[in-house]
Amino acid sequence: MAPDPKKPAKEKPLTAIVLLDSFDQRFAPILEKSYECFGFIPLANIPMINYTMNWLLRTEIESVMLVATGKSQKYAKLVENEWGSAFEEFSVVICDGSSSLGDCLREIHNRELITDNFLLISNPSSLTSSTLSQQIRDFRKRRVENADNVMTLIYGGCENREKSVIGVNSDGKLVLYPAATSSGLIKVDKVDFYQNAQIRRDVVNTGIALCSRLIVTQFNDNFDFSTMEDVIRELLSKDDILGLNIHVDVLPQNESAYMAKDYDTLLHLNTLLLERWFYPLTPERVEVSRFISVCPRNIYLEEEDFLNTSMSSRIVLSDASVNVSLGIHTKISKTARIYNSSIGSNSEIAENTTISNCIIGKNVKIGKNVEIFGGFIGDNSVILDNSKFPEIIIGNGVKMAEIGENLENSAICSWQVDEDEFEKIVAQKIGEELYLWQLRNGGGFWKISQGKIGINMSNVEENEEEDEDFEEGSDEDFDVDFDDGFDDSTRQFYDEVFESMKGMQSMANQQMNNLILEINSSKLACNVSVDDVAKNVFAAFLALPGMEDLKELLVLIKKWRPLFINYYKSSDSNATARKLEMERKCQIQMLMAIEEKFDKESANFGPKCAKIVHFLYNDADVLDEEAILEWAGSIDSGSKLRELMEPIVKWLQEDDEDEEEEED
Amino acid sequence: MRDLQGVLLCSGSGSRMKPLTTPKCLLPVVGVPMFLYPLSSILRAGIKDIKIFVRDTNEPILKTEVEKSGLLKQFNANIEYIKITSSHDDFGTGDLLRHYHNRFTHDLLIVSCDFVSDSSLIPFVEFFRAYEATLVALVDDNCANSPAPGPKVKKAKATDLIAMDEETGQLAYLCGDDDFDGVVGTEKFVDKFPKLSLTSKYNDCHVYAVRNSVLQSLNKNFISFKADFVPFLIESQFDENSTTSCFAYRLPHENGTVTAHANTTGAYFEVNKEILKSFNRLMPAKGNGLTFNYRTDKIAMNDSRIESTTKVGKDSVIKRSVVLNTCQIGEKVKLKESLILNNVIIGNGASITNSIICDDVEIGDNAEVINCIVTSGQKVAAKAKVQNEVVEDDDDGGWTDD
Repeated sequence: MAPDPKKPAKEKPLTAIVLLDSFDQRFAPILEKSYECFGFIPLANIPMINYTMNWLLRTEIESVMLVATGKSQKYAKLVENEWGSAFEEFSVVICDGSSSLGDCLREIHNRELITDNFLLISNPSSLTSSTLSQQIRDFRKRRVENADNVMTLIYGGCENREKSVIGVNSDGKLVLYPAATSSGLIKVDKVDFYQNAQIRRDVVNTGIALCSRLIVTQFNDNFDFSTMEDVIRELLSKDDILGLNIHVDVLPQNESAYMAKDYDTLLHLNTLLLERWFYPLTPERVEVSRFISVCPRNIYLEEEDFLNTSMSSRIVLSDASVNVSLGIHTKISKTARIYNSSIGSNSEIAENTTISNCIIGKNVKIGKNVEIFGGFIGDNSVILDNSKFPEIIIGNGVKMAEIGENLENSAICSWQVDEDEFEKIVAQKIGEELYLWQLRNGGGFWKISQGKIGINMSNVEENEEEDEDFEEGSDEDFDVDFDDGFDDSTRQFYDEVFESMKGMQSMANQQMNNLILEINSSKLACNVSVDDVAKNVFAAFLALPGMEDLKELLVLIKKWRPLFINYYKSSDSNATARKLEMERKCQIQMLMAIEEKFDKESANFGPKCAKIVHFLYNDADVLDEEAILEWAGSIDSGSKLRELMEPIVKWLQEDDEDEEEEED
Repeated sequence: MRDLQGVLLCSGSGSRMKPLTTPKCLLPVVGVPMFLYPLSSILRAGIKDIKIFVRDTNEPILKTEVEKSGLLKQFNANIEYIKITSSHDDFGTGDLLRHYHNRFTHDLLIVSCDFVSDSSLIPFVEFFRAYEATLVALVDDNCANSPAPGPKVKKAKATDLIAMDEETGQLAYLCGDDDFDGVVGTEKFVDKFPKLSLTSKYNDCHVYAVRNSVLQSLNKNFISFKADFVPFLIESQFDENSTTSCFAYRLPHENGTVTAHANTTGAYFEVNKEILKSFNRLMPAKGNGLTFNYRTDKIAMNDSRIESTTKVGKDSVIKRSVVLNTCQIGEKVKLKESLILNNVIIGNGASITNSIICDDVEIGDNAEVINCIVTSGQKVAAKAKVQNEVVEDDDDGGWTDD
């Protein structure tokens, strides 16, 4: 039970779990053959992990657990050597073969390394100027108040470049979170109005989370969870079953916090550091063992030894340059203009070149009249004169000029990608020792949300169309949903429903209520529309094993009737017109599922179509006459299916006419 | 700065107020036809040009009532009655505004006849001007409301669902709780509203200030002003290069002690009792009603109003109730939290709690009426006890709907 509130025992400081790696393969071009480990990517010429450790020192944390993959083992040792003595306890946990946060936390769980609440830094680029003391106190208070308050996510008020959205209620409880496939898309329901939710786009996740042990258990219970988002979605969608609460704590205005998730945010983080947003977390304070001095206009100069620092005036930067970090022995032309960028040691920049928002590695040579607006350039690379690039990612040792090719959503490396290791990336050779790396799914290299948003929007439009003009909209929707393979959420929903049904089928005691619950939670998790639910529930049903046999199929329809009634027909006799309309649409979706299956395997399935429809109408009483007639009217006139449906349509129409005559 | 034109909508039938008789605008609130309250609100806001939409059959009644109220002696204004013939019976508020839009030359202050409040609309109008808003809707989180007497029904959780910017009150979404259908995507909101608050605590009082220029875009699709046109205006804020801006004016608690959107029986019932606080100020022409001296009359009366044409027997106790004209209340009667309309006869020793007793009802001696609506002309027998009921003719004959 909760400890006696009168005599609060002195709380043990939290343990910090810090991940040294990012599992995003987007970073492969700059990590491979270069920094190798995400935590060692330089921000203002200092490995980012040093910032992380530095701000941790300012918090109550006394014990740090550094988690790294096998590949980063030696880097983890480096961090331990440098920072181990700064904390009471410092341990390195190597999770060999891990490819996600989930893998790492599962490993930690298996080794029983977590015994209490902990602070999770899921990405070493999570930086904050705050000591988090208030946030940790509030977290503890919430834990005491209710053991089901399992996690607090720390959000900061920085510029939200991804336009991510969350919904929180007045107690700071997280109530809305976008679905996996739709960044920035939240749908609100009545209940969100009742509980006074706030939809916020003005805050960003800092990647810092205060967690109870239960969070690790969640990863352990669900082997397919790889990121924190998975857990958040799971807890939210099963709120009514699990009853676990996630809270969001937004840092006060005077504290900054940020996390790099992709190149866009990484460069933004670099700029924020150069602009000293995280004060007292600034480059010259973090790296006290190196000789870094700050000059006006936020220009950071590094020298080899103390004696030289006073002579740093040997570097003359153009007056226009601001927010620049220069490594040792850099040679910058007086006419070069540099903004918001850090430049590694021994690099050279020639005349009349403009560099803005860049991280440039060591020994890089940039020619004359080059313009780069946003970029990451790996060590030992050479950029030839007169090249102009908007956002560019260049790996280690690349020698290149402007190639006239569209470099959007891609990175350039001097070697071919190892597709076994980075299965998400494809590369093509575009020149001598030049390879264009792109994401296999066509997504954005530069920005996670790139490309995705477009798809979302089009989907939304389609849905709207569907509402207005059902017939047309649904036809188009078909192509988009399945043939393009774009709409992952619908696909995922289908898969989940299929698995749930298969599980149910194998059970002796087939409880439809449980199945409905499972389907509904899949629906929430995938955020699919009512129409998609209606279509895919039946499509999944038709795909179940054993359903090739018509007799078995009909038996199961009868047996699972409560399920179909739930999704396609209400037992409510005085349903409103609107409700009936909805039902009719759902029933049409059911028929669409049949039509789709027919299109795929007309030979086997064809003869059964009419019988299934008839059975659903006559025996199971799931379908209504209007829905069948409307659907049948929409089938292509040349389709064989139309021919097959002809008898039923005729029969229904005759029935209709009979009735009318009787009425007359 | 140009003045606003006032529009008072008195043509509604009051479909949510069964079993009370229609039309809604003439239902008495403390003996005063309801529509006079919003009319007084418009007049107090200093508006000189007022259009009242009224059904042609009711127009003479409204005219006499306005005359009787003495409001026009207090405020100088020009009232035009726009008569709606039965052929336009099915017109929604949107239809009305479209059909008569040539009568409107200025920005409009549109008020529904069920807005009963002692608050001042001047800050509301100033808010509209200051923000140069296209539309401002008056919302209140403290509307007088209570469950209607009669059979217990499940109470609706909220009346309006609103999404807005907490600081400015700019609206992103406004929808009646009943009209809400399915989930709403927020992707279009978030660009304009970095921090969007969803709430259900406010009640849209159907008081709107709207730019004359947008009335042009009223077309046949907008049947109802609230359910069709307001959402359209809010939606059009998200169009590219849109100059539209829609706000909610959240009635501050210091502006007015009583506000009600009396479009349901419950709200109507409650506002009758609530508005007593400010009644003398709002309707000075009505006088004070009966007063008693407990020592001499042996009648205890608290927070109530009894019209002077009514007789009350001794040893009666009257708390937080309203009794209208020419009633006869016997001895030792207990009236609590109730609304007694005209010509009601209440027998000795009867007890009436939290009920509405309509015109011409007779209540026998020692009868007990708790949480009921007794409709016109009904009789409650002596010693009878009725609770949580609507007392009406079996064949529904005592009540007619328009």
